Amino acid sequence: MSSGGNKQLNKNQLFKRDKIRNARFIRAQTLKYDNAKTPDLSKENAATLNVHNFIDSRSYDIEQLFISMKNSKSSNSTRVFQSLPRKLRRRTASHNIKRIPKRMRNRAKREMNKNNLQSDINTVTTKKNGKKLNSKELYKAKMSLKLLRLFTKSKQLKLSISDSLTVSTSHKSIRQKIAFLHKLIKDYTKDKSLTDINNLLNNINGSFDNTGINQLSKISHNRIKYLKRQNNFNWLSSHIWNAKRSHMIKRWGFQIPYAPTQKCYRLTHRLGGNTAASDGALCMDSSYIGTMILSHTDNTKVNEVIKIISNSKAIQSKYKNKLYWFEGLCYNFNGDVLGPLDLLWISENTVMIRLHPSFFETIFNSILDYDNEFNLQDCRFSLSSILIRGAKTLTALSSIIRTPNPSESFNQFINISSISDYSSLPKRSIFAFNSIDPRYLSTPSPIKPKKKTTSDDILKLQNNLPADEITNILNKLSDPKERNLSYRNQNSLKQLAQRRRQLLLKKPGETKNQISFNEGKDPKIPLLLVKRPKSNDWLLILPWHWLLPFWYQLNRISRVYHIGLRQLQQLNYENQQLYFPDDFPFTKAGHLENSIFKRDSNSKKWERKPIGKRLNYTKVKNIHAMDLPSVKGEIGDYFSCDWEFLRILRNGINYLLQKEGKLTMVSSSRTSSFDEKTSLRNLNVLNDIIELYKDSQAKKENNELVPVILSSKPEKYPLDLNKAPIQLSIIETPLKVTPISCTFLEKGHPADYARIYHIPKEHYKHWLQVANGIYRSDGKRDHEIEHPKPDINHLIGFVTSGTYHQGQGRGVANGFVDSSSLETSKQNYVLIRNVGTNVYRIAKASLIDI
Amino acid sequence: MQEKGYRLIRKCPSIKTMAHKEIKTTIYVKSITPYVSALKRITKCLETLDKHGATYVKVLGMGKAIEKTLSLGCHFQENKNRKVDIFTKSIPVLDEVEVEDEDEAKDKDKDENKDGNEEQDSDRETIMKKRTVPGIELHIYP
Repeated sequence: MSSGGNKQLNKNQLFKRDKIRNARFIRAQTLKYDNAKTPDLSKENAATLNVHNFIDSRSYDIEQLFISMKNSKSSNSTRVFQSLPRKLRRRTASHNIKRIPKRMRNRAKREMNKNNLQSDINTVTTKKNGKKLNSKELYKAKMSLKLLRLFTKSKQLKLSISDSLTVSTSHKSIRQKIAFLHKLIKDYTKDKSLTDINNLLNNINGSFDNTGINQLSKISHNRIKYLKRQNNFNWLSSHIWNAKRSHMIKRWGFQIPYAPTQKCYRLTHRLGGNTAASDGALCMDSSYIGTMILSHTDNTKVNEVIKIISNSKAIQSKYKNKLYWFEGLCYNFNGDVLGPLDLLWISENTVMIRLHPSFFETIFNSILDYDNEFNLQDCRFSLSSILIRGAKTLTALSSIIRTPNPSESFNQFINISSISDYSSLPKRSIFAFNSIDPRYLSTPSPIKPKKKTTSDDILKLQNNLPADEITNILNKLSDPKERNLSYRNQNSLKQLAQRRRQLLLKKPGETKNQISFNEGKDPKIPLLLVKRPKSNDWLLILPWHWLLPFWYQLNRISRVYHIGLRQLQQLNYENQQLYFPDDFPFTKAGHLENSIFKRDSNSKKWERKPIGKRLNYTKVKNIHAMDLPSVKGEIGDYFSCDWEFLRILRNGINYLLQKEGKLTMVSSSRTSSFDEKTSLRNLNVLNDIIELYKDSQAKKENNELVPVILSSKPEKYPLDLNKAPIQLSIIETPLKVTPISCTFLEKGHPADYARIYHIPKEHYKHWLQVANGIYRSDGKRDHEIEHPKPDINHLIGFVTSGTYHQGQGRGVANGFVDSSSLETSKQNYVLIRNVGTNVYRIAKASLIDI
Repeated sequence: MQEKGYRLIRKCPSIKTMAHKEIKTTIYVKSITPYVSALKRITKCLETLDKHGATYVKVLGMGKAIEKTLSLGCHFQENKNRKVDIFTKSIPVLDEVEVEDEDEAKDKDKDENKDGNEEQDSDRETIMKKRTVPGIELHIYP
């Protein structure tokens, strides 16, 4: 024992001391000054300091100072966590010991103790309110543990609980569930032969095919722990992964990633947009889009149904016999448009249909009602899909997919896998093959095509399509038994790790990157990879429980990012396409989205603001050339596209023009009057029409009826005047609207719900000049011109999604206008005004192909 | 120029392959690319060449854009005193075409259809046809 003097430090302590010393040490540059040759750098002449030279001469020192500051800060406070790039950081509450991976927990505890962070550790061990569990809670906790144990045991025995424990039974008491599992395990261990072979799983992970045949599938899961949380909104198989990295949204019976927690507006534009500079890919778990497989022994029946739901578009021989992917609109059996439809004919008798969850069940039930001979599979929980887009899509996929046997379709895929701009591929780009478990690859790496990709490889896709092979795989994908077979011997992570360890024993020269495929034992996964012709993105369709392995591997690849619904909407907007449901006001889902969900949230946001800080819409002045007595400030609803208003306005104008021959804004002699017999409002001038709208708003009954219908091209149609009373027909005749995309010609950012106006004839000359550009004397565009204002009767539509377009560098707005107001042949110019403003901007409108 | 018996539906872009260095140091000039923004992009690209381990910026233009590409090259050669290599190329591109029926009667039917239902354009069956386009490649050295 040494008395006094320096204490002997051990190796570890020495290392630490040196580390801190090194970190605190600031390096400096030694400069040799030769007074004769180099004058003082700091001075140009004796009197003035040359800042540039001075800083240049000290730049090394300044840099070192910063480095040292950073080092000494980090050297003192090391934690088990590395400092990761922003994108990879995701674990919140790192003070919570329970959230730290087990292998790091002890170290983290030690580090926290050292830094006197006791309180943080304590928060974990006790409950939030500081109380211990009471006996009831303790009992509950014990029981749920018991349940989990029993469940694990049943999984180990490969017992299927799929039919017995579903979301619908999750309300059963924990004791009932335990009793059920007990009995299941007991029966099986007593006499194995008595157990029905169908109740046995073919893998240890609990994966099974969950298809409802001629009925909606029961929602069941292979993780009982999370069953109760999914009573109303089901999880996708990648839910836990996504929930850590994205904001989730509960819609249409699913929990869907809404947007990544990381900011990604520009990233989405750059990678997903249509540019040659994209060097990555964006992917999304699109399994919430439901798949159904329709088949019938009589192919005319299938044809009839498809004819109805696609409005006879998907029954052309191109789609029917030649494996083209169909993208279009889905129609209800009564002729209403429901939303987008994706469809692929597998054979003459079998079709794969992909539908949005908001109307999946409607179509499913209507098909069953149509004919009960159908074999209709609900594959919502047995087929999943990944949506990928961006330049790296094909390269990324080729790095995770490997086939067990040689396959022509896979070869074709590899040959074109290095292509980054896939819009040069043919409309029909479809690949289907068996794949091995992607987790067999230790590190995903792309398979390079043997020679450079040329246009001949692309022509081969068109001319030498291995149709038989593809149909074969498609048949496997559409057969519940085959899907179930694909889970046979699906390896657990533990089994995979064991197999990977054996790779280390391989001799040098042999590949250690991939676990070799065992032909008899290992699963083969049928995959369908297809390019969607209109959306110009790729869909990977595969059995439900295989999604996660592919998803994990895909997200390991550099420059592959996950996105959510918000980004899909952004990409659709940037490509000037419509996004379901926000840009589909002519469908029920779109109408609800606009006039209920978004309207509510916007109005609440506005109401939360103090009166002084929010815009008073009723007091916005000078919106129109002429103020009507019935209108105060902004027209229509402030927080949504008010289609109801537009319908009554356009129908009313139509009526007045047909009746009177000309449009009078307001009657100066008298105020509005009512008919004595019917007590309905007399309609003579435009002001009466607005009053009529107010009346209809006051006694609004049915919110769910869609006020507009789609007309994909401009058309003139007269209002039926014979219907009585005319007031009712003005209120109830649906308005035909056409989707347009408007590009601003000068300044201005359009916002959602902006109003679209028709240019009045008398102002057309002025606005044409503005469109061509009015310049100041210094050659710059003049933005300070006084513009004439249109009137309320010139309102023709609303913007459903509008903002500044990153690709075009100017404002672009997608919206809908009254079909009769569009000119068919002429260049269409429109005026756009944001809600609550009185500034009009001219924009060029073009039709959106739908 | 259109071949007889085919109707052009869409011109496909040239074939681009995925390589990080290529993407970061290649600039495609289109006929609608503004001259000055192309200049700015090339200049910016020249500054970050080292980062991507490349020695030159590749500027590509084909067909109608050849003239613009060449004038960009001249700008860097004459005004900026950069070394510029120029290569001529012929680039195979693909066209999406529709096979026109020789039968006149059918043609007429189609025309009528067109008037009645123009949106069917996207639903028509098309094939890809190869075509060669002249092009130019510039290597601009820093």
